Amino acid sequence: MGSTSTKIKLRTSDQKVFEVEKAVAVQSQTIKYFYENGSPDSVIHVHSVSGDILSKILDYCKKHVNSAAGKEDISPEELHEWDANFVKVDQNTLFDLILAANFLKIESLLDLTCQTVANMIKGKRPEEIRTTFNIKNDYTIEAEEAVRRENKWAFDMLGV
Amino acid sequence: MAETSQKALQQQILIDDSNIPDWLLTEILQRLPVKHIFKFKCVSKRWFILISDPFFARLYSTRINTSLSTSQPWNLLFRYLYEVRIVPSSMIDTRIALKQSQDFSSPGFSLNFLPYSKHDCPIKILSSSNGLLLCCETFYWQKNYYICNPLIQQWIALPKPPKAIKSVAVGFICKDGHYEVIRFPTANYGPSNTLRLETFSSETGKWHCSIVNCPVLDYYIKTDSPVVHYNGSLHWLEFRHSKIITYDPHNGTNTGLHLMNLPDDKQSEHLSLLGVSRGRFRYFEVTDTCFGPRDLRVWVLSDYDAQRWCLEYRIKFSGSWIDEVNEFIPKDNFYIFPLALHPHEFDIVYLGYGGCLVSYNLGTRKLDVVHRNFYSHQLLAFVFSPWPTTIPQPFW
Repeated sequence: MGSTSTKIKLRTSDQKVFEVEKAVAVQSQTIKYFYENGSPDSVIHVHSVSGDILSKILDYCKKHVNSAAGKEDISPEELHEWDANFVKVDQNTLFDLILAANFLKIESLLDLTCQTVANMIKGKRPEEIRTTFNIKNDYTIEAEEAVRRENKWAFDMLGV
Repeated sequence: MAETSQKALQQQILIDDSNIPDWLLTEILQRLPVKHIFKFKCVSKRWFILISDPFFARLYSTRINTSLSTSQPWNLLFRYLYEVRIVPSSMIDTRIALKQSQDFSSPGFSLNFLPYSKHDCPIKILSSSNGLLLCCETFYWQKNYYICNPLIQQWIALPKPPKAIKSVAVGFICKDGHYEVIRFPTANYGPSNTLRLETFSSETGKWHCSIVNCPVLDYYIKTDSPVVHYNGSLHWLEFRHSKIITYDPHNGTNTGLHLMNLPDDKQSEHLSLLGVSRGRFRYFEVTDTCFGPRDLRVWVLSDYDAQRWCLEYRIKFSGSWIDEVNEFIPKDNFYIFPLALHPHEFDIVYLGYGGCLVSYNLGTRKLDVVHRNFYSHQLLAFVFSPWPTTIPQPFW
């Protein structure tokens, strides 16, 4: 045992080095894989994640590890609220978090961040979506009308 | 905090579409309700192609089916009404579906889009499978069948079956983009131990007749309990011998109808139905004695092959129920009958009770009136499929 005090070294894309408790770091399946398949002392290079983003992600992992291990007395509702605050960031950071969560393979964080974006676009009209994502409408008027007609039910009513 | 999130919503996302890889766009869209996703098909060709890909639909269904927190929207549908002639046409639509809970959140639900919607005689809902409904214009002498997806309002008409039969037991299975309708006479009085089974397959576009073995000479199918598709077979309740009649359309070697036992200690002759709750096959009855105590009882089939039933609930009908709804029910009128099982909750059943449709929680013993002035015995718990099932277009 004693593995709780084991530290894993991580180096980010901007060459920042983090020393992280193993239990926290292995929330990332990618880090876990590198750790288990490399020498224990080597530095793991998370080359597509910046220091700022990694630092945020480690906060997230720590919170969830501590809460799951009972080290921190936090109710599921409180944790949920903590998560909600965690993703209150600017859009670029949010997308960086998604990309990093995907690269690091942290399923719960990927779910949280993607759900956040989904909630933002939910209920928007297609025109608003185009603005939001800077999408050029490549339909002809007739083609768009045909797609709308074909999916009339989706425009008909709210709900479901 | 609400303010902050409001602000966040108002901000424009400045991530360019071209910087969002397909996997990420998929991940995001997968987390939206179906209706929103379909609306986004007209954002751009890229979004259309991504959403229309069968892979997207499969992934979506898997997500919903494996999720513990979400269950599919569903509703109780009137299958057919006895009192149709006295209900004004304006009411028929609202009575097709009961907006009985938050589970159902599709306020526009109706079968109006079907070609046959005469004012005084709404279409009959016979069965459902994988988000589709099998409907017919009439209950007796069924001739013109329709298959429809009420959510996306798509429908097709089937060719007429080859033979006119006054009363038929019907089964409907939709799976992997194909569907089948099975029908045979609701009763047989012998002396032959074979019967004529008619099958319509979407793959052939034709009705096919076969003569199959009938396990009992004088069976009688109870048509007011909807047919149940479970474990690959169709199941109908049978009156005369108090059995279940089953049929597996894909068992090539052992064709024909088979018998299956009901619980040994069942008592009710008429007030009973079959249903499935969260993947478990169940039998629900109200003892139908005119005098003495009445019970609500639910059994679950604990071993399908051994036909072993396990009694889950036995609740004595009590006078306190009457107090709950006594505003609407004369004390001497507490005729009570089973209507449906909740598809997602083991504890909840639906009953007809003194002219009301009520939901009853077998665990907490809580009773709620869902609908008043309710006299139909015919309900169907209709569960939407995770991803809308499109009906293969007919080639016939």
